Amino acid sequence: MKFHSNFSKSVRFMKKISIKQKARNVRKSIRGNNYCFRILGVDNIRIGYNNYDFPTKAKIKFTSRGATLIAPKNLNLSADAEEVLDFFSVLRRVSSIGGRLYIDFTKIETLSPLCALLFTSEIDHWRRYGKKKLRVVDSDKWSPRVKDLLSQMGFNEYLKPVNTFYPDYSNKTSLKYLKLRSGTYGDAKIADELAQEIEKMTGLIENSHLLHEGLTEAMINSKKWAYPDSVPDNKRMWWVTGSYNPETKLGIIMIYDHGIGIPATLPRSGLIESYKSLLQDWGILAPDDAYWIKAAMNVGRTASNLRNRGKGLRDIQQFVLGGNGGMLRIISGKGEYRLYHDGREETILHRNSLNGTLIAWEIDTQGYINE
Amino acid sequence: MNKLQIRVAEDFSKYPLGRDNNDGHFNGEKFRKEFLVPALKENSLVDVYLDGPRGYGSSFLEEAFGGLVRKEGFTVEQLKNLLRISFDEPVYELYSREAWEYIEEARP
Repeated sequence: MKFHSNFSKSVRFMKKISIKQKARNVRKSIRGNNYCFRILGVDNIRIGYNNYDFPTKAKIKFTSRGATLIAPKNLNLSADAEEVLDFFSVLRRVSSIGGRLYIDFTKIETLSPLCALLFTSEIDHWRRYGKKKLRVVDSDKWSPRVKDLLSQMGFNEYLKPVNTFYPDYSNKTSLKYLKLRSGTYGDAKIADELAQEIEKMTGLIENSHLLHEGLTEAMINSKKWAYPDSVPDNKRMWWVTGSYNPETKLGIIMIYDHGIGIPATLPRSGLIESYKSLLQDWGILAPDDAYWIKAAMNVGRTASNLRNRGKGLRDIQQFVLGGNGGMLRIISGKGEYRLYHDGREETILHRNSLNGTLIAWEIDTQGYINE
Repeated sequence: MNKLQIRVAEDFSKYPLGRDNNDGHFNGEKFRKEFLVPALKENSLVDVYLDGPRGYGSSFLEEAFGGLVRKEGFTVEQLKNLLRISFDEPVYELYSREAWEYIEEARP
């Protein structure tokens, strides 16, 4: 606890010292905790300590027992995308450093399907490659909805914590999750199982073969393009799951990888001149991540004689464009791209990077389902 | 010379996917080399039925069928005489058409 009191001193005089001096004081106060130093190295001088903001909004505490990362109240990209992306960014960095890590789940009130996928994939990565054991603590203080959703997703079976938690069946959510699956190769069997499972809840989905095509090509793209050449084949992982909300009739199938993101991989595709040319046609001279994704998707959709990457991106879009409803949502790097069933497109530039690529097919089952 | 029928789901896999072994186990290259090429060399007509799998990605179809022209030395005219890409269920018509597009687009 010695460093804690030192830090208090630096906080007391915070207004009178420079930011650089603050960082120096923090480093000094936590000397001996290697993971803290490495984090300070990554984020230069913008990192605080204890309940002081860590890089931007994510809350992290360092104590002699390890690091505690506090999950946001709404782990939901629609509620506050920047806060959520910030949280996952910090989680990736802290979990890759070593030392004991606590993730405080007690503050979470809402957990969206997309965020549940992001979260479990991070923990899975940390568990597999950090060779760590996962232990569940304070689960009695978690929101019953959070426990129910993680339980449905297969948190206990898939992540194999040392101790399991039990869902609170007295307060179940109506939202249904599919079990999480992962792989390092394309796996059409998994794609087929996911489609079958979601159809059990929704009824037969029209054009489900197009969804299958999109998902399998996304798996292949993930293996082939998403990771830097230095990452071995057996670590080029993707994670997939799905969800269905009977109240909104919205189904989601989603896939996520921890790669460098679509914008960063485009130069390797052999189609970079086509993307640049299209961006010039749009009058975009300094494209951000969102525009790069939009250009790649448009080239994939419209150009003939595509190479393999272009064809894969075309397959990913077919389901949304081939039916009566729904949306394709891609978040990659700092960019987000949305393609609606009527061909409308939307781009969003986030302040924080996702550190990977998330592709979600949102299925408006009222439009897609054959009753 | 004989006529041969290949049913992808029963004879090869219900889960075809990808271009080569880097993509997945039951890939287009494997289907082409182990099923299509021997069948096309030994028979006067090969009828490939696509029914069964939930769907086909473009990488599988291009590698399996386009690869016949790109890598195996067949011409489009030869394949039009030797090969049928058939289906019982209408949903597979899309894939039959797509496979022929890849054959016609392919260059040796």
